[in-house]
Amino acid sequence: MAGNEINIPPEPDELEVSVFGPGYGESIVLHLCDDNWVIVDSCINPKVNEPAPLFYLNQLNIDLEQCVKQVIATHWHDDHIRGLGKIVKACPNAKFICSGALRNKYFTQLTIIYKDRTLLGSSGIDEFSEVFLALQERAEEWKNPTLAVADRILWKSSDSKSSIYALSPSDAAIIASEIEFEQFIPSAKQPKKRLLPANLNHTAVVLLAMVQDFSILLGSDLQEVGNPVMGWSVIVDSQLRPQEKASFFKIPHHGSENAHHGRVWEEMLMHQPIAALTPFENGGTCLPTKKDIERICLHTNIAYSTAPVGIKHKVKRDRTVEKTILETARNIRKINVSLGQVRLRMKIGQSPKVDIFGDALSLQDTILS
Amino acid sequence: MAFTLQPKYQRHSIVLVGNFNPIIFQPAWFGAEKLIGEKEREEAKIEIIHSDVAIFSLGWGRIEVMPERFLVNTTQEPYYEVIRDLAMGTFTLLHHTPITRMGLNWEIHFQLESEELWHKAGDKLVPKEIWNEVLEKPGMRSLTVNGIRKDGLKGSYNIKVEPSTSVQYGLYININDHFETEDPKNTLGSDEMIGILKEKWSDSHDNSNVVFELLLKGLL
Amino acid sequence: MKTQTAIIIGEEQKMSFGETPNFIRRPESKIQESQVLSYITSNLPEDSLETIARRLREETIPLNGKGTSPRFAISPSYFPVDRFVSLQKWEGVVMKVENGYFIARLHDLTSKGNEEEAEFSCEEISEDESELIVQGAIFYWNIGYHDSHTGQRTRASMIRFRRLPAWRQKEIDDSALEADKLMKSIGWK
Repeated sequence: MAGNEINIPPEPDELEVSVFGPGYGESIVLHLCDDNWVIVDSCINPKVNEPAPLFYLNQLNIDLEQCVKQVIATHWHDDHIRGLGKIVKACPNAKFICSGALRNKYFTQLTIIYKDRTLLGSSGIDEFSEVFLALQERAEEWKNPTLAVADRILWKSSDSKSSIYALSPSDAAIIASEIEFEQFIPSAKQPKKRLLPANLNHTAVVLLAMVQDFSILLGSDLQEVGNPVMGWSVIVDSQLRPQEKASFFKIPHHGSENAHHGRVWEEMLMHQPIAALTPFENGGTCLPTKKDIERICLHTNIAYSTAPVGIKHKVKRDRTVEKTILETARNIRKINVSLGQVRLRMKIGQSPKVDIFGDALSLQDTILS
Repeated sequence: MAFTLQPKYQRHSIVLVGNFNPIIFQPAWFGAEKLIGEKEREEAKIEIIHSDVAIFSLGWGRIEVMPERFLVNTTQEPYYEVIRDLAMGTFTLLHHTPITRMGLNWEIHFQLESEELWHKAGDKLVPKEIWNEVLEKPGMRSLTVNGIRKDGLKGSYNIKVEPSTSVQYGLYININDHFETEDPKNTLGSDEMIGILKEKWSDSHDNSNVVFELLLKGLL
Repeated sequence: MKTQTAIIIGEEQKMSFGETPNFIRRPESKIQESQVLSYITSNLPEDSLETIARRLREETIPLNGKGTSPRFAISPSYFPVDRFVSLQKWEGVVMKVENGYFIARLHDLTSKGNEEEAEFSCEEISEDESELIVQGAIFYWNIGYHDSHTGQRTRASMIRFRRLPAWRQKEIDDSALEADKLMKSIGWK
């Protein structure tokens, strides 16, 4: 078994799930044994200003061109895809996978309309523009994105011992999103402003990765809104999905109540699974809340957060500036303070080992902090 | 990047060369197109509006338009982005206006601590040995150095250094970041140049601060 | 800062690219006296309108057979220079507006890399810009010292919303065509 230092790669027969989160942003790296690496979403490591998965894999000396088999964008929101264009470029032989809901003319048009970062800054959708550019520069066989839709197998290892399934989006979610994306297309004479990701989380891709009898459920940002044809209900009720119960759960949508579905814990997860979440702070919304943490801890006592929640960091500045800030604005706080990593490693048949790095901590401790 | 050596005065101008109709560039037009606020429009100080020249000032900037030239400038650093947006907005609306050249000009007047340092700077810029052979008490009046563009675009990068006429023992540095369209004779509108303005303004601003800092540190 | 301002009618004068143009070059067009007066009086506060008007009439010169015009030059004048010594600058985007406040995500332009959030009262924004406070709107926030031309220094905080050009129909139409091409190139069509 590899040691617990951060820059020692897993052994070939050792699986790994690493969840990264800097306080705003989320990314996951999977090692499904035998140098089969998968990158799910992207966020920026604030210390080095690089996509966190790339920085991590480079630290481990992983050959990105040979070993990264898939790059998956579970949805298009800014906090899940910052730096994804760079990743797609750095991994030219990795299949790019995105939600089937994004294969529509309006979403594609939005990536063109909002690609101008110099004018409108970064909204997430401009990152997709970078992804498409990187894809267009690839060799023919690697150009076309694979579409993730409910109950579709995305990848299988050559020995069939490892696989990845998409469990969403549902057909209804795909149809609904086409109408919704059309509404974001601006009309003539409308003033230009930044596109802020609206709540289209039903387009998110939930993934189930399996390595022999160990399963990993990655919940992305999928929410449960009580709609029987969208969200978690569809997934739980699906007879076409693999019925294996997962031992590791990346909790969806930063632990929020509206992403919680009791039957997921009962029917899709082992008892007391290892769980991880990434916190979220944006526009005054701070997740998970104390209630969320208490709720999650009722389901498992092995839960982690990639970063502390609700701690107000401030940038230190000149006294004159500080004084003037206080007179003008309230509640100024730093976002993306530093990166935390929750890493599970396990040889098949043995017990998993979880290590935490950076600012990651146990979820119980976030209540205390 | 912040400019750490504080200048006494500074100014940024955007100069566009093309084919303009000065009389339309009135505060009322800018206000109607929401390029400036209503109050700004009302309080604009018009100096002249004529078919050959239009000049007016807003609280933070000045616009001068002639048939072959459009200029907007400001002496207040917080409004540097504002004049950029004003130029962009104006010629996105008037996208049929042919614009063939653009100057992003960054100027500072920097006060040196003493006459001795001031002379030292002048001697460093223009060493006097050769001039002492041919002139009595030679002094540098103006120095312009041109460089080629590093970004592959047509144009040049020009820096002028002079003794400041506004600040005692001061240095005046003018950076002219000059751009041209690929084929000026066939440039029919403003899209190409406004695209360059959008893409290059931020780099030009950052570079100007680096240049000011390097020059001043090199001379002091 | 000194600026030499002169209107010279009837004379060609060379100017270098990048300098502030300070004169009218076309002698053929006749400029109305009222416009000239308004130009002059804004720069020469001491003289009365009558004095200036008389001088203009006395100094009328022929323009090479193309009419007449007053010839005048305006002496060097100082234009008031307010300056702002910037200590800190952010670019902000409005994330949410509610109850007279807006929450903004801030990107530090002074020490790049810092990302912050803060809340602002809508009353901090000038009346002229209040209609611009909408979700997705971008603004600049500057903190520093304001030095007036009289030498008065005050601490200042300035928030200014960006006025970006409106979308053109052509831009939207072009984006649809480009999207179509893109979808074909990645096998989505």
